[in-house]
Order: sequence, then C-alpha cells, then structure tokens
Amino acid sequence: MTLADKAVVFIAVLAAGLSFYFAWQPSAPGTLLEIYQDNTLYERHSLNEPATLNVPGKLGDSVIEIDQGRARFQSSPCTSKFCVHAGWMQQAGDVIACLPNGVHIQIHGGQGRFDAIAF
Amino acid sequence: MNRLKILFSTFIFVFLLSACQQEPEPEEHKSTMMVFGTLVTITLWDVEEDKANEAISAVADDLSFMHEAWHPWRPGPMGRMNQLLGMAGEFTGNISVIPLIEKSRTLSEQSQGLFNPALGKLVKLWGFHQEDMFASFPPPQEEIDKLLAANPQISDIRIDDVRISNDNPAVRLDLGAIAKGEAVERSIDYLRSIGIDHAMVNAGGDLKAIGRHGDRPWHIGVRHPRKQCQEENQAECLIARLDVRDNEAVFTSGDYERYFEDNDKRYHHILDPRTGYPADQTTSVTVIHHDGATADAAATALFIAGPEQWPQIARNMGIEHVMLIDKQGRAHLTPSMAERIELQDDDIETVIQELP
Repeated sequence: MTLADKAVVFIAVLAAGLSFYFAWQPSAPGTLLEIYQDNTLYERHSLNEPATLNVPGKLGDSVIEIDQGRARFQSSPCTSKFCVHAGWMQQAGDVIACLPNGVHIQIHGGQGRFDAIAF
Repeated sequence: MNRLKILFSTFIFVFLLSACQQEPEPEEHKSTMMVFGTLVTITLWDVEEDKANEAISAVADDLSFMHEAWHPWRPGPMGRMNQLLGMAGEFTGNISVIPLIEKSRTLSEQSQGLFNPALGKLVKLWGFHQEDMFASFPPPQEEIDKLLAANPQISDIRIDDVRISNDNPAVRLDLGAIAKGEAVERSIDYLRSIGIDHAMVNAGGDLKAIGRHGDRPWHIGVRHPRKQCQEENQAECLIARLDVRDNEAVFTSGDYERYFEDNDKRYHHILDPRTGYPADQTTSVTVIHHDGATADAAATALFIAGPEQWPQIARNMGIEHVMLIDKQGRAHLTPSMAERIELQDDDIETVIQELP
C-alpha cells in the first residue's frame, strides 16, 4: 500500500467511527420547526437557519425566534406569557403553545427521549 | 487491482455503516393540536398513514365537542344546565352530560367531598374558569364564607332518568377536575373501537396509553413541581420517570400550572372545598389508574387531602399507585408506586406509605 492508500483507509475508518457516533446519539436534537396557527400548519422552518418570525394569532403577533438549532417564543400578546417563560426548546417532540393566541410550535426530526411529560 | 479492491471495500464498509443513520420508515404517528383548552398529543404506533390521520382528526373533533358540551359557562349542554340549576323546579337534562354527572357524584362521595364538582361558583369567584386571564387578587372573604356556608354538593342534584331537580341554589357544576380524564378515556375507547391497539392520548400532561411503543413500553417523564428549567434541559426538570403499561392512565395535579400572584403570594387553581382557598400542603400528585376520569378526580382529591390524609382517600377511591410531593419536597409513595417509578434525584427524601 502506498501512503495515499493508507490515508484513504485512515479517513474511511475515521468516517465510519464518526457515523457510529452520530447514529447512536441517544436523543438527537430536532431539525425542523413546525409553526401552527389555530391547529393549521402555518410554516415549516429549518432549525439550522436563524430567523425571527411574526406569526399572527387571535390576539396579535407571536414572535418566534430560531437560533442555533433551538426555537422559542420571543414574545406573545397573551397575559400569562407561559409560552415565553418556557424558554428555548430543541428536542424532537418538544412543543410550546400560546393557547390564548392559538399559536403553537413543535420540533420534528430525530427521536425524543420521552413519549410524554406528565405535569 | 489490489489497491482498487482496498479502496472499493473501505468505501462499501463506510457506506454500509452510514446506512445506520437512515431513519426507519415511520411507524409512529404523532400529532399535537390545541383542543379541550390545552395541547393534546395523540401518538399512534403501527397504524397505516391514512387510518392514522383519520383517527387523529376524529379524536380532535370529539374532543372539541366534549369541551363545548362540558364547559360550565359556555352556551352548551353544561352551561344550560348551570343556568337551570339556579332556578327552582324540575327540568330535563341533556344526555351528553348526565352520565358524567353521575360518575362525578360517585367519585365525589368516595373522596369525602374533597373532589367537589358542585363548587362551580367558587372556581368562578377565583377566576380560574377562564383559560388565561385569572383574577389578580383573592376574592373577598365574605363571599367565600357565604358560598361555603351554603355547602353546595353534587348530591343536592337529584337525577331521575333525564329529569333533574336541585335542592341547593348555590350549586353550579364545574367538572374541570374530571372532564379531561373522561375525555382522554373516551378518546382511547374510540381508538380501540376502530382496531388501534397501540396509542397514547396526552391532554396537557395527563394521559392514557394502550399497548406499547413498538418493542418497548411507553416512556414518560414526570415534571418536577419546583425546578424551573427550560425545555432544552428537559431531563433536569423531571422528578421521576415511569413506563406506562397497557390500559393505564397517568394524571398529575400540580400547583404550578394555573395560578396568579398577588403580593408575592401564589394562588393556584386547586381549591380546597373546606377553606375555599388553594390547597397549600402539596405541590404535586401523580396517580396511575386504569380509568382516566377516576385518575383525574383522584389526583385533585389527593392533592387537597395533603400529606396526612391522602392514604385514606386513596383507599376509598381505589387508587393503588400514588406519588405525592409535599411542600417540603418529600416524595410520599405507595409501595406499588415505589416499585414502578424511578426518581431522578437521589437526594430526594422518600416516605413509603402503605394504604390503610
């Protein structure tokens, strides 16, 4: 084998190792954000592209921020602001809603750790 | 030639391994929507796409219908009943609410009145009947006293087939502590009736499951009542994890869900019928039971009962699996719950409590 052959084998083995590592992550972060308005899909947005989106609802605009693979309600016109206080989410299956405004966001792609959270 | 072989086989090897990354065909159908005044997530396993979509939208429609029918103050069957309960005389009740009222009566008696669905006026006084805008300070003490003195009980309502009369003008029904449980129960019944064997219906953190999630049981986490943390650190805000078995409902009542603050004091939505104020000895209760409505009412009743009285109420209501977190942060567990639940924090003080 020449040096080039060895380099190819080395790179291939490294790539194989890395693919194992990425394939067996226990809970992959999600890749896609779905934004719903009154239970109807309003927009799909990649979590990899930073964005600030205004989503009109019953009371006014909810502002959704996407940054570094995460998403959150930056602001919302509801009184209690539960959605804003929920902070950033990034796991597949995570959902945050502003019920009074009829807007909710959900992360898709990958596998969540839990089928549900009881609360 | 030899070189080509090496090159070729290493690339094949890498390619095969990277195939591990490919997502398998989706056997899970999961849909989240806002219905029943909360977020409802329906998860189906091993159901064909078309059937799954149809089933999910049928459940959503049913849930919207139940929400309207059972809402105490909207102009639906329950709202109408509440109007008529305030007038003297007999009337015909709507059959979409009578079975639930009868079930509520049984559970209210078993809970020794701690689950009291006849206190609709008290819930309204505190503003917790609204979805978002609660009151901003507690109601006047004399109004609470007046209402409690009238002692509204669901047993004041007499039901003769569909004819209804009421002995106590203070009675207004608010089935908020049982309606979600009944709705989840009926949703699961429907899914089973159309041949779905593996499903979970989760209505705002209260859920029932049938079957399994493929080759494993349904995994759930139970939220910690005091840890404030963001969604991204989900695992750290959990107090426990649990596998849900076939035909089991898991219901939790917590003081962190619906509340308002006044003068740095938090007033939450679980009202003690003995004081007219939010029950203040407990921070959360989680129960497992096969029937969603029973689990729902029991979670509320045990929360109100508090760390001293809960074992007796649990026994009366036929609840074997209970976890109660008291305001000091101790976890009170029945022996059967202790076997099932995996606490996430080793430092948490646990009290194993046999039922009487």
